[in-house]
Amino acid sequence: MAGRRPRGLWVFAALALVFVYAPIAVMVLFSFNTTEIAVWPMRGFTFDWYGEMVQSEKIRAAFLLSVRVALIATLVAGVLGTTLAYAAHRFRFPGKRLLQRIVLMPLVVPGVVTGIALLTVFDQIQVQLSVTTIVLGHITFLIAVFFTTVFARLQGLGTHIERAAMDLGASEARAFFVAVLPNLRTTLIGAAVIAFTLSFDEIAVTFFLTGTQNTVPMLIYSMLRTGLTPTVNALATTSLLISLVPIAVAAAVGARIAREGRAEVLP
Amino acid sequence: MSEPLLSLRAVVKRFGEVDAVAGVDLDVPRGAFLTLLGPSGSGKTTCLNMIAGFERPDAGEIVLGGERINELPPHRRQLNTVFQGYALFPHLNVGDNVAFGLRMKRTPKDEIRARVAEALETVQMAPMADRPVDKLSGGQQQRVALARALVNRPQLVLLDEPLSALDAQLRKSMQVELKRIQEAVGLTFVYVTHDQEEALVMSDLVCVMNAGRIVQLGPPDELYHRPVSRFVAGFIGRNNFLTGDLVHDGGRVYLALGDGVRLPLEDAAQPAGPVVVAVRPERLAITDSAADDTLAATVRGTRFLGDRVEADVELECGGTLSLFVNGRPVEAAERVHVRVPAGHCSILRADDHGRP
Repeated sequence: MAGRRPRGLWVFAALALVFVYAPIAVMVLFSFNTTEIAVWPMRGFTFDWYGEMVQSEKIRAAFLLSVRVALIATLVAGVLGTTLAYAAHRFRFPGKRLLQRIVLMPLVVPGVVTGIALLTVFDQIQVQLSVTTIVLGHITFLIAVFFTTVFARLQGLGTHIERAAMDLGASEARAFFVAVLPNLRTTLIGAAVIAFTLSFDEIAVTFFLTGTQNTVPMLIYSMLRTGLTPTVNALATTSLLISLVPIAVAAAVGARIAREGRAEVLP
Repeated sequence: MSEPLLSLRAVVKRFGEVDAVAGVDLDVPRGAFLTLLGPSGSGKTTCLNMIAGFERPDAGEIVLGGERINELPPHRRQLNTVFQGYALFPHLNVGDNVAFGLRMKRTPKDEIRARVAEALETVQMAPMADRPVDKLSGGQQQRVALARALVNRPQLVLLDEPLSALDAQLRKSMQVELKRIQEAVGLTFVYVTHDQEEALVMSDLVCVMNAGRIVQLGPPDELYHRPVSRFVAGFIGRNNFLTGDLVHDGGRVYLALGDGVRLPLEDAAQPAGPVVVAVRPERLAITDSAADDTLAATVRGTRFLGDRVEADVELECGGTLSLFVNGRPVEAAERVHVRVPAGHCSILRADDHGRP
């Protein structure tokens, strides 16, 4: 049904896209600019800043730390969030409604608050700030990502398939692994992608909980104090790519599953 | 008689203050197709859940194949269930769904393949083995769910309103199909439904439940022709009810209706007192002349049903009856006489509240 397309809408849509993507495009372009200061038009094309980035010990360390934090935090939050969601889905227990409400809190509460709160606690129990404290900080809000997506999927699945599995000879625990978990695959991949990206980009909570080491966003922030260099642009562009890769992977997995006729709605 | 395959003995299940099942005694003979029939909230599904192991009785015991299974978890019970809404595994194709139970029991691969093929053959789904289940129609999903239960060769198959999601026509053909399969495989089926027609068509035995209790248990024709309570008479098929007093007079028994009208009945053993008499529409007939066993009435209206015409008449002594018109047609406002054959009247206690 081809209705009349109002021209004004197209203009607005185009403006919105420019507003969102133009700055990113500028940043990406400047990361290839030959001059050290950001001037338009570009003087020439070079990979030098990327070379500098790769050779920098500090940047390499920050990059590895960010990946490590994001992977561990995603994994732990995935297990905890899925377990919580399954418990909330299957069982009645006191405080279940409260749990469903407060589990979203860390996503809504400003990172500064979470950061200060955790810092206070770690200080009280005399825990040294380290990679572990960053990971713990990230887990607090990543659990919410897994809980909400997995819970929604479980509600869609209902409890019938667990019953069917038990009826067909699976113990209660086994029923989860053979009947429920396979149906969460797409949901978990989607949630993990979001979680990884959130963790990789996170700066507010990390700011309070980091020890002596820097994550990539923290490093970019500290590098900015000496001015906006093309290396920062290169590093930011690389971060952007890293955020895009898992999304592309998830889309590919989703498409493959859809082709097999086992479509599941991504969260 | 041989020992029943399944027995429920004084089984009680409470949900909070409510007795969902309030003392049920039931024997299911081996090889029978038994239907638990009742309105929603009658306790039939709770009974099924207790048999399957998803609910635990608060009192009484459940015995399957001579063994008490009250505390046995669902996966250790020698029975399989066809769930309402089928509950097929969306991540598995048809064949893998059917193979699920055998895989759980670590059956050898060759045997799984053979038995899955055989089960799919039984439900006429053999060509569909590689299809994903979400690409199947409701009727096909129904067949897969049945094959998934049958393939395990359980002692007992439980079916929880398996046809409720199908359209009317498909439901009718699946009723016949289910009965055929049950007879072919020779397994015991316990079937739950609120649809009395479904129960009559398929069952060897129908167990009518109401308010957590068994009201009547018997073959379909017995329930239809000899209901023991007003509830059963009203729940199964269509019925007319005449309310009055049972009186004895000179060795004969009558139903005293209003205005001094008396209708002869047959069962002289019944004690006198207030009763309800149930009589099926197809047993009533319109006659031109009054007799001992007729009631004067006025036709209120007729309905054309295709194979017959149904008429509603208002009795002069109070109350209305529905009946089928055969012979000469009748018109609204016409005065007629309705013959109520004593041999087809069921005399029921007026205050039975669904209990025998």
